[in-house]
Amino acid sequence: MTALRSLAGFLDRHLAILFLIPGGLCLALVTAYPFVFNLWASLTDLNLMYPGAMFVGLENYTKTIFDPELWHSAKNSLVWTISSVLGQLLLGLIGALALEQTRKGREPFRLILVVPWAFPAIVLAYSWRFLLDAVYGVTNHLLMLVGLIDAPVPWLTTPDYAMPIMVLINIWFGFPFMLVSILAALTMIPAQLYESARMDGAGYWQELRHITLPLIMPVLRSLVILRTIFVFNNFDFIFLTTGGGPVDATTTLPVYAFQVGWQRYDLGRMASVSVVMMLILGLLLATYVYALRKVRAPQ
Amino acid sequence: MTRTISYLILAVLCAFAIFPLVWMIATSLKPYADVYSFPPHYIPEHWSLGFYRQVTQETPFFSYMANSAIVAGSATVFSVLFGAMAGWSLARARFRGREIALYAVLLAYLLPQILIVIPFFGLLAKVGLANSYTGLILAYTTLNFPFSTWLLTDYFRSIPREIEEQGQIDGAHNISIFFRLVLPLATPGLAVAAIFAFISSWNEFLYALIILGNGEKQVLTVGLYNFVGGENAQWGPMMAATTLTMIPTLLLFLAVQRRLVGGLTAGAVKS
Repeated sequence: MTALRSLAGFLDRHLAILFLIPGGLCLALVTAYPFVFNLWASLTDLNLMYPGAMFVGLENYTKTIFDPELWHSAKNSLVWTISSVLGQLLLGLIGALALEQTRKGREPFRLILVVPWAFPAIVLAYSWRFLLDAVYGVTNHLLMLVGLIDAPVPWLTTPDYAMPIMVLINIWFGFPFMLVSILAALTMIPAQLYESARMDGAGYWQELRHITLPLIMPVLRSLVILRTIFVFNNFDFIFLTTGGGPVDATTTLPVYAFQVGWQRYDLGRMASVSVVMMLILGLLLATYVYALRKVRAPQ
Repeated sequence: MTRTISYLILAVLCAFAIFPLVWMIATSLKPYADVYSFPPHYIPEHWSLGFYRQVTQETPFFSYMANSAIVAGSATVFSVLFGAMAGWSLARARFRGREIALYAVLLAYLLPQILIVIPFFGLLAKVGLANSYTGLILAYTTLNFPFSTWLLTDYFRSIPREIEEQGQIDGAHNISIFFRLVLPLATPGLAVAAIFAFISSWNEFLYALIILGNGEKQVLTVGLYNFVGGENAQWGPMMAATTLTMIPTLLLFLAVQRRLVGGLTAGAVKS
């Protein structure tokens, strides 16, 4: 009885460590194990169709690197990621600056502007597919009304349009997050800075250039990095809207990895694709960090 | 001048943001003939609940919805509980717990889901948990755990230590201090973490597709993908189904959206 009580006392004194265990176990099972397994699988011929796996050295990697589809998907991934993130940032920034100027009605505007953010991928895919439908789509009709096109265009099944349209959809989905984050950063800028600038006779654009933008730059940098990771790894927007088509026009690296692993059952190859994919993301982020290294909060 | 332009910009942006939702809801309430017409009917002549009847009576929509509620609800409870435990540990630890939690969030983001999901499915299959809710709940708990931890670490930091020290002087065990004193004080933070976890679990697609496969056990997102995703798109029923799917998350989302960003931006500014 005393042994039990002293054990309970011991456990209670070390509660802070014990409390890390459940979450830690989850991370170990669902994140760390798959990651390590993947590194191992990339060196084997593991396949969903056959039992067992043999060590094959770097064969998966050479196959992956010499597969033109990989480089095509990598190019698609870069276009998808960079243009989506830039578009989201630009639209979010413009929206936040505009919202900051308003006196009345700020809250209703804000609520309407965050709506796209709440869309589940499946709903995003279906609602946009319907909007852009070649036969019944309202987009085509609106564009014909204003005279931009003469006949309905099958936007998502035309190879040249599919990727720009996917980027547009992704900008629609992602600009609210940027907007709300930038708005939060704007409210943290001390009002005295603007007051003294105005006493010196500065106009809106000068204030924007010399006060607002420099002060929110660190936030913008973090947002760009966070968002790049999110968009680069995104799988379901494209998978559910175009399935990577038409003819690979929107196949990004995660979609390509899924096709190799889940549709061709080749887990070894898929593992090597995902390792290459992480390297490419790492390179992209390193380029950003290098390019943005001078961006710091002014003292 | 800048104010007028600002209102103009906002009007255009709002139209862009809200139009897909408006069109989705409007379509779901139209009669059959109005949906399949070109040019489209902008102002419907009459309203109809026909598509809602079709979706709820001819498809297992409600059973999918119940499955989603079970999975998302359980994952919410576990991720918030584990997140609160870990967050309290990190907030009270002498080492810089907050930074560690922040890095865990970033790391969880950095790994592509597509890389994690198939090996995890293999692991579940080995222990006989393929096609089980347990596996999916474990996955969603883990996906939401880093964010909950991060959010709650901040929250516990803001609770004065004296409250806990008073409890210790009174001779209470740490575990009862945590459950009786600390958790009730953190209720607002717990609510935000819970809503966030619920929304992201409710909306998730890829893990559910791989882990639950096809069939009646599926959750709503994959169910929608299967029953209206064929070649000949049934736009009317589809828009009714997506509207029903979105209602709970949209309402929850609008309730907490302000809180989700505050912490993130503060973190970005500090780091």
